[in-house]
Amino acid sequence: MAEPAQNRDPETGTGANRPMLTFNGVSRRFGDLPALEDINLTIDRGNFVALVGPSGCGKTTLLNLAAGLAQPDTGTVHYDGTPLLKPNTSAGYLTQDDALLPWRDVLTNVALPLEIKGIDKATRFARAREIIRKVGLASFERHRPSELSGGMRKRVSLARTLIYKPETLLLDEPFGALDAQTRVLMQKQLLDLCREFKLTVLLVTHDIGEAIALSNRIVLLSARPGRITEVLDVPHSPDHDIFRRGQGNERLYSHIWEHLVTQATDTGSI
Amino acid sequence: MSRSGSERVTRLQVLVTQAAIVAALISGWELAPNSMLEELLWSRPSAIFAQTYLWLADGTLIRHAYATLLTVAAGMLIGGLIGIAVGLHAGASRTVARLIIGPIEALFALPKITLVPLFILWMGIGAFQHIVFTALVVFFFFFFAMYNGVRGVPAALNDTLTLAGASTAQRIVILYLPASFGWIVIATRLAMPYAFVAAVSTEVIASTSGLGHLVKGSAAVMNSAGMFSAMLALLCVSLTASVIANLAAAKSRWTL
Amino acid sequence: MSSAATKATSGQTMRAIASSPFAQQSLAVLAIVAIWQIVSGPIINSYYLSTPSAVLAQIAGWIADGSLWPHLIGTLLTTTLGFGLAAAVGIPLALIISASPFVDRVVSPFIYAAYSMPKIVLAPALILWLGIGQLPAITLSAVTAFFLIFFNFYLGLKNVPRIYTDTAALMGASRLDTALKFRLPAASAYLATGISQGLIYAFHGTLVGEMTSSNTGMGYLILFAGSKMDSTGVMAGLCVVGVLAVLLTRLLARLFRTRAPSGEQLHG
Repeated sequence: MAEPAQNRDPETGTGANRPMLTFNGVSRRFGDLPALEDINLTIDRGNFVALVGPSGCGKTTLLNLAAGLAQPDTGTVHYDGTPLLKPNTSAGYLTQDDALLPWRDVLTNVALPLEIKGIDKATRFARAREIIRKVGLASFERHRPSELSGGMRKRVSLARTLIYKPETLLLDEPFGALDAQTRVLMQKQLLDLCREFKLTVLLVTHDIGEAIALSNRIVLLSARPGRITEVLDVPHSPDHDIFRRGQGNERLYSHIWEHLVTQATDTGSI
Repeated sequence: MSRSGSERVTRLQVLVTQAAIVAALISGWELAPNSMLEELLWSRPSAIFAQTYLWLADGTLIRHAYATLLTVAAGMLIGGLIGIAVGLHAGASRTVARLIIGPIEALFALPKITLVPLFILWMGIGAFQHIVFTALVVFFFFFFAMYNGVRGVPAALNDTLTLAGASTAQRIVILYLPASFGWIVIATRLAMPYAFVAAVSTEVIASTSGLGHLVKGSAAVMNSAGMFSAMLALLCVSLTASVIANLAAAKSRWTL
Repeated sequence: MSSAATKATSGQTMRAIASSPFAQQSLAVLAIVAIWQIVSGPIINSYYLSTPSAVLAQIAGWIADGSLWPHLIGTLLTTTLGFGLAAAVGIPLALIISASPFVDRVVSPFIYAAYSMPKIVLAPALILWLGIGQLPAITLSAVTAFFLIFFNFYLGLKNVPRIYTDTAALMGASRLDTALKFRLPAASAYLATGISQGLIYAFHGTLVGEMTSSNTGMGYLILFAGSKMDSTGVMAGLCVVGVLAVLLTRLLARLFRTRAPSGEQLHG
């Protein structure tokens, strides 16, 4: 078990890795409702960090702060050493909703970020095709989102998020709406792409198995107002295979499960 | 009580009944015995037909119909464009919205016809004033359409563009306009009859041309045949315009 | 930490008050009136817009010498009568027509056709037949309101969800019982909308009638002032009508719990 994040020096992180994302004493409220309180968290470059907590604990708020879409009421958020004061264009954000433009086909949807950056048609379509092929949708370029299944739309979203090669990926329960089998396939795809592009990832999820399978560090959040109760390292064996569940992490699983149950019963939601 | 009997009514039976009703009304009207005064007040179908024929031949009906149509078309175009522009701003910016929604909703609640005397004071009774008034009436439809269209865009889509670093112009072209297209189509269909009412209203109150003016002018000289003739022309023109607007709306099917 | 927190919350409260919709809208209204007062005279000839002070004085004058009341009462009375007439005809007609599919198919095209005619066009005819006065205004008001009451209720009755009529059939309910106990309650929301919109359009129709075919009422007052090029009178009349309109919509919204209009209504 790693030492609590509060005791870690936010400036230097651990060892050689410079921290990608730092939260210092961050809190945020919506009117009278406190969403997050006293968040101190460091995410190192290249790490895959999962945020797990009960419903309403502010996980999405934390992600929005990391994306620069919102500003904290107290404390600061630093991205790659500099304070994050405007929307973070070096981060890719994948939400539970598709956020695809319904009137465009797959190709033009995926090419959208490059179109906004002003890259010419030929180049951006070429790069779009490349990444579309990578997520396995090569023959669906001309299809509209409404003609695709949920899993396929999710892959299109993923392709669009990765096309401009962000350094950081923010994921808000991206696979929640998919059926169990598609979900596992998407998780594998995600992990492969993250390894290939060497991404730093912050994943919000309800799915403990997903958190354990994908991440190397899990942050447990309390019920509202969200505070960090624990940060756990996830040991992976060298032959770690995402398709096989329960490979020696059963204790970790039940520990997290207990945490969620406690949080839920304490707030009376059960 | 048997229900199935009424369900086996055919289109033919309906049409025949309708034709019978129309025939009865027209023949009753035509054949009613009238004193001279009543003749002036009520007219009869044959007289109306004769007057219509006369006016078609000498171009009166065409001339006035054209004036009304011009007002409607110009009003729709101008009111539509301004409504879209303002609605876009209000939809995109919360502060702009809060500033202008109040006055706009207040203006919307005011019966617009009461503004006509003021408009006449400002702009006289010519085509310009008619068009401005029609544009004002039409404005609201397109304003609300655009406003709702922009505000209805899911936050996730907006965030995606923000994170990609989109400029405001890009956001409008890539997101707001396509997302509002369906609303605009609906607004066009809804606004058309209102545009006609607006145009004709200004003509009836004070004008030198247009079908509304023709109705009023005919009544003023007790030419009831002319009055009905102009009314009929107006009915035809506005029905045609509405049908065209509906067809165009149906053709431009927009699927999400 | 605590002093920073209290500073933060008091600052937030100030911001909350200043950015509340009511405050911003009131500010907007005040700003408009202020601009109006400043602009009219030096920048825009007061012929066009008059000034808030002159308009207020005019309204006060009307109230003082009692000349406002006949017109105001005339408008309100005509609106009520027109609405009553429209409801008396529209509600039964909706019930009758929607009850029989055959009658519906035969008659509704005629009603739709009549609806597409701008009602104001009837005004010259009404003058011809009824003379100048409030009678044409009442008629116009009634005709305008009729369509709204009729269509809303008619559509509500026609679109009763099948689940209700099927349930009634399974219970063996008679035609009358089905109509009274299932269709009517299901359509009551539509009737409420029809009445609400009908009142608003009775008001509109009244003003239209007064402006085109009467010699009394707020509509006539505005038209008369306009014909004398009296912008003060016109603006004063508009202010009174505006207040009436806002009061009416607010009252109806409260009674029927409808939201502010969003541009989708039947035309008049």
